[in-house]
Amino acid sequence: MSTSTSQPDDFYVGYLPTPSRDRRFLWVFLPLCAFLAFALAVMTNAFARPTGDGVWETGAEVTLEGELVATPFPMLRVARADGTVERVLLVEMGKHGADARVAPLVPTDGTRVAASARGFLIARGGQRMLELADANPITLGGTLPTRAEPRNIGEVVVAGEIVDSKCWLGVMKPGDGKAHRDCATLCIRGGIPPSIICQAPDGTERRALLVARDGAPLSFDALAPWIAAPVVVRGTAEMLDGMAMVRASEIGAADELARAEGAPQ
Amino acid sequence: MSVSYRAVQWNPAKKAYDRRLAFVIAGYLAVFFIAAATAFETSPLILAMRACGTAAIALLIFILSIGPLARFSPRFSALLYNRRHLGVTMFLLAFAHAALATVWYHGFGVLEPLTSILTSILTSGSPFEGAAQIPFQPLGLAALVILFAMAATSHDFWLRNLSPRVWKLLHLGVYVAFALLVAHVAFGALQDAVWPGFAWMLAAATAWIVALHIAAGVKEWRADRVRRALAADGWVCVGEVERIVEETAEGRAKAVIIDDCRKVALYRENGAFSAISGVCAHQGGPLGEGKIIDGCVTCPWHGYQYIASKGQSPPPFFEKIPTYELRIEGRTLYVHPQAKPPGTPVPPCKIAGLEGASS
Ligand code: FES
Repeated sequence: MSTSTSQPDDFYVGYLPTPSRDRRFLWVFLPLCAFLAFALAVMTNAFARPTGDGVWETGAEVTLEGELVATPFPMLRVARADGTVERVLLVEMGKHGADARVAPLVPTDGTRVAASARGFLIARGGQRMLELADANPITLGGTLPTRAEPRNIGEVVVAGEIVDSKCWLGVMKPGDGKAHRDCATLCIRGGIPPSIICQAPDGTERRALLVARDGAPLSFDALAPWIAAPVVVRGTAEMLDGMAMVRASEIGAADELARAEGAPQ
Repeated sequence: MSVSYRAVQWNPAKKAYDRRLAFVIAGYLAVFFIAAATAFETSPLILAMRACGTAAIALLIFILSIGPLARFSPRFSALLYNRRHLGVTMFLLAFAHAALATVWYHGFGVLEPLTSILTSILTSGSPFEGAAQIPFQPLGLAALVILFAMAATSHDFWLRNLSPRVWKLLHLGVYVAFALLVAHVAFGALQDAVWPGFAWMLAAATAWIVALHIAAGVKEWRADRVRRALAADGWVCVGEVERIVEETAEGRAKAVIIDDCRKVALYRENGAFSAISGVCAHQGGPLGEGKIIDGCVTCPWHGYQYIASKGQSPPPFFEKIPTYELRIEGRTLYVHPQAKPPGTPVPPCKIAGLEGASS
């Protein structure tokens, strides 16, 4: 079109100079919009849900020694300096469990196996997991910690959320909630041990490994509908060297079970 | 304009517009990450995902606001001018959000990411099991598909080839996308939020968009409802000549509605009036709110130009709009209700005693 010699008055045309009234107006309006947007950016973070103190020490390879356990999930029983024993869950990189690697190394007749495992620590609230390194992360041999029987706690009803232990312990922040559901589902499908998390009456977060009534892993199909949804799990609980585990006899939607039972504990 | 299609037709205003847009988005992302560093620890990819997602929805609210705001004040026209660059940018932010979610939540597993997404959609719980079960990813995905269709056809090439009607219809999809995105946030991020303020913010933004469109709609509807007297031969009375001359500055138009729906712009030029369609051939911009610049009616939206007495763009352009015949009887101005085919020249209707003034 022709270039214009007209006076720019209060009529805006993109290819002509912006009228001064428009310019003045936009100098107020646009910064205001930008300010509102920046406020949104700040608030999204300032009021975000806390994500816990989990850490994922990628890059800092460590080696732990102890008793290799294959069931219900791969773990290493590691002796602490004070004589107690800690259970460290073992997982592979990505969203993969370590069953295929660990199961062949542990005889099913109850013979105990000493081993050391190399990898990267994932830890939250004093609970640790080891993400196994790429090549030959497990070496057999070493000293075994003292044997200990599981300590039975009895019947429990836990209202909480089913998560995959790896993300929740520190790989993803947050590693729980609805937005994370598909990821948790993919992790559990891949063999990452599922856990039930809940709030203790004192407000602290608790996590227990979640298995079937017979102590074996729950089937993925049985678990899938309940992952990252508000659920109530009924069953029996036990402590394995300080790690809580719930054998689920029933999993249901939180509101349904609550209605049937009165308030769960 | 439309002589040839270039990838994007740049001019200083568009460049300045895009510079500001880039500046605000870069600023947004920077503020987001700085705020995150001082708040709760979040995985970097999840932060990036949230930053892109919130930026996209904020930009969409801005985009949807400026249209109706411009109905209330011409001061917003400058924002309208380059609105599609906003739209394309908004799509890119939404796409980045979706790509990050796909990589992070659906990657590194025993299923391929796309299989994982599909499995998630096919096995998701029923909506009747409560808000926590309503799958929110498909809502976001559907919105993204609509936004993609719009971004991909945003160029004038498509406007012409799809015909303005189809194009406009396709681009009304933005309201469907907006509704889907509100649901996506409500059944997604808000389900995990502990601070109730986020829900209120979403509700307020949605209410703002709805209210603004209703208000703009009511304003249009009021203007459309003026009853017009008809002459015996069917010509439509548009008012007293004197009043119209008084109300209309040289080079400007009086916008009238005839037959309850047809917009006509009566342009005053050199002591005469010409009547053309009030709807721009480009994207339906309000020609009644335009202005004559260098002898051409100039659309307030993107500056397309027409010669009022010919209903055509000046050469070498070839846009055409319908024209109308005018006549004066006694002290009243009448317009013929039948539009002339686009581009039909109609001699301007001289107003006795009105001197031709130069614009
Ligand atoms: S609508 Fe684009 S120039 Fe008129």
